[in-house]
Amino acid sequence: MSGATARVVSARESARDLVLEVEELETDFYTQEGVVHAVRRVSLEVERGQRVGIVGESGSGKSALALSIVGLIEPPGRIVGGTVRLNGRDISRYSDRQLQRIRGREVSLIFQDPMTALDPVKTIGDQIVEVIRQHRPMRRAAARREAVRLLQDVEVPYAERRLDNYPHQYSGGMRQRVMIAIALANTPDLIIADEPTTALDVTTQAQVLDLLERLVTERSTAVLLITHNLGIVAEFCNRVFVMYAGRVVERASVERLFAVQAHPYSEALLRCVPRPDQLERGPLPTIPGAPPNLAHLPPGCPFEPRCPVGHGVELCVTTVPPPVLVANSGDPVLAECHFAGERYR
Amino acid sequence: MWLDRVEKTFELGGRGLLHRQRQTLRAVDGVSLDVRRGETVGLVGESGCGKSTLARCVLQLTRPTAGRVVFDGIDLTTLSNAALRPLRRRMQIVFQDPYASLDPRMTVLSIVEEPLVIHGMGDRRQRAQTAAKFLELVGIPKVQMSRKPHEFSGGQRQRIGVARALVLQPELVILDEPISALDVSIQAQVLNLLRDLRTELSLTYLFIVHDLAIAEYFCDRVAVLYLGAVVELADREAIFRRPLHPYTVSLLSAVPIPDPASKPRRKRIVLPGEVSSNGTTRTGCRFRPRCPVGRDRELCAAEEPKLIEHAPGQWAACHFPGELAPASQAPW
Repeated sequence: MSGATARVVSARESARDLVLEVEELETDFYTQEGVVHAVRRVSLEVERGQRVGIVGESGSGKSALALSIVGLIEPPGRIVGGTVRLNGRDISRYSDRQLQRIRGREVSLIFQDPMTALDPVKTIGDQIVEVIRQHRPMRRAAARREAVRLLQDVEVPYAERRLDNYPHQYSGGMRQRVMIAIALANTPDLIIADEPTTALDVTTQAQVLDLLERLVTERSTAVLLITHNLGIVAEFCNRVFVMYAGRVVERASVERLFAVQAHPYSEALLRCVPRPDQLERGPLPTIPGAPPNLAHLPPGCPFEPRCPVGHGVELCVTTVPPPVLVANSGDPVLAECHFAGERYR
Repeated sequence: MWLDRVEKTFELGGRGLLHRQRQTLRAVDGVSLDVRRGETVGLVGESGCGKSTLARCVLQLTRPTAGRVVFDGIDLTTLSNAALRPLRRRMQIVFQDPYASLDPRMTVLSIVEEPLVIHGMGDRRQRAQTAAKFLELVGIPKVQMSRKPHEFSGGQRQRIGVARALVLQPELVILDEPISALDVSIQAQVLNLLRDLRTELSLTYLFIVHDLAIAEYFCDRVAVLYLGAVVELADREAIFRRPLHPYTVSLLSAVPIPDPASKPRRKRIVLPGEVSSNGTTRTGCRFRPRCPVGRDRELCAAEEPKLIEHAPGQWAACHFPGELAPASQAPW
């Protein structure tokens, strides 16, 4: 981060209640094709109760970032640098055991496919009770009552009866509700949700997102929502991080990002989604080419080969753009583009 | 092509003492639909609404239990597999998963050649030429044609799937969620390709899609399916601007719009419950259990509404069409 922006940002930090602070986080995957730099020195913060969307296409590093934050990267992946502070404590050097105590209590995860996260041979009730008792000294019967209350909270009908069902007896939407119940069981400060509604139909998705929004608002839980769906970000989040090639290339409030994009990639990404409220039928704008190979990154800006602004521009070809603070006034926008300042004017 | 009261039922449950009572699932429940030459008809609906089963019925990949599928004046349901063969050449399908639908051991050139071999068209040299021509048409350069599918990206693989479907120069192409496995920037590329090919080769598309924004963007007419039946059918402008069926209205209101400014203006209709399975015991309207309009109405409980033309070209199966207003003003 350049000196000036670092000072502005740190001056703001002191006044904020930060749940999560990630600094220079770096994760590599060691594959046959070489070292894939999935997360490249990413820094970010999440305030209490904030709902942050991380958007990007497959391979942009958004899921690797989420897993790195909670220390769930598995070989051939490895976190090679950076720090993660949760509620002010550095958890990046924690052992698996220490991390386990934090996961579920201070930070919870919701994945795309609840079927892989739920144990198929245990009843839903047993699984919720287990999570509750892992972090709170509670008798089984009391934990069971708590589980019923949680299932009612996530609007599972006939909660008491359905507690003794197995995951396969739940529909996809209901399973995702159970995942939310489990994630909220110990009222964590942060929920990391990785494409939580991607496998669901639109009407079910709307139900689940409305529910999640209500519950996290009631509890001031911060959410880091990873998604490729810009519509969901617009409706659910208040901040957005746009990821490209392992970096957060633009960060802004939702209102700002959808109005003006400082980074050409953000602009291109927004433009190639057909807007349901616009009945135009011309060809859709596309982004030429494909994302770069994270094992062999170009020396300059990773978006340069596809960029309508900087393609072939010497500065973009040779030099990695530093983050530029293009707007402040209480609603800062940071973008990693040599032309961000110019574009934003 | 037109469909006349097409039905497909599946028997559920095994045999034996424990399963004395067989249940029947009505996956496709009397669908009538016409597809005109050169147009793109979208089939939208949520999982389990029968849209994929219907597509398989059209191609006779699964035989409908009742009804007729008429293609160019011929009722396909009466034909034997052998008699179907020459007609199959004129109807092709592009599948959703570009990873699973291409044989990993074949080169992409031979993958695209294969339909020509099966239908005994041309000699070896001509086939290779035709296949190469179609691969080029979808944007796969010559130098890459001897590669295997795993060497291509998802978007390129879907292009190869498109080339394979088109190489026989069909008239009707069924697109079964051809882009839902792809990233947005790649989706746009493939959609543009499909649009160009439609004009160039004067194709007729039956486009199965769950993303309503894409349906609106790409289709001329749209059929909304719920539990195996068409509940609304109209041109895209009517469906998206003046929907009549409460299910269409709710479905549209559930789509997240990439515009935070629109959120306060929108009214989302959250449907209670979930799509239930379609047994044989139901009476009345299939949407009634979840319907914000007819849930407590006697007529809806007693009588199944017929698909009726309520406005020119706009058909809806509802006793109270238009009663549930779409979200106020924009964006839909």
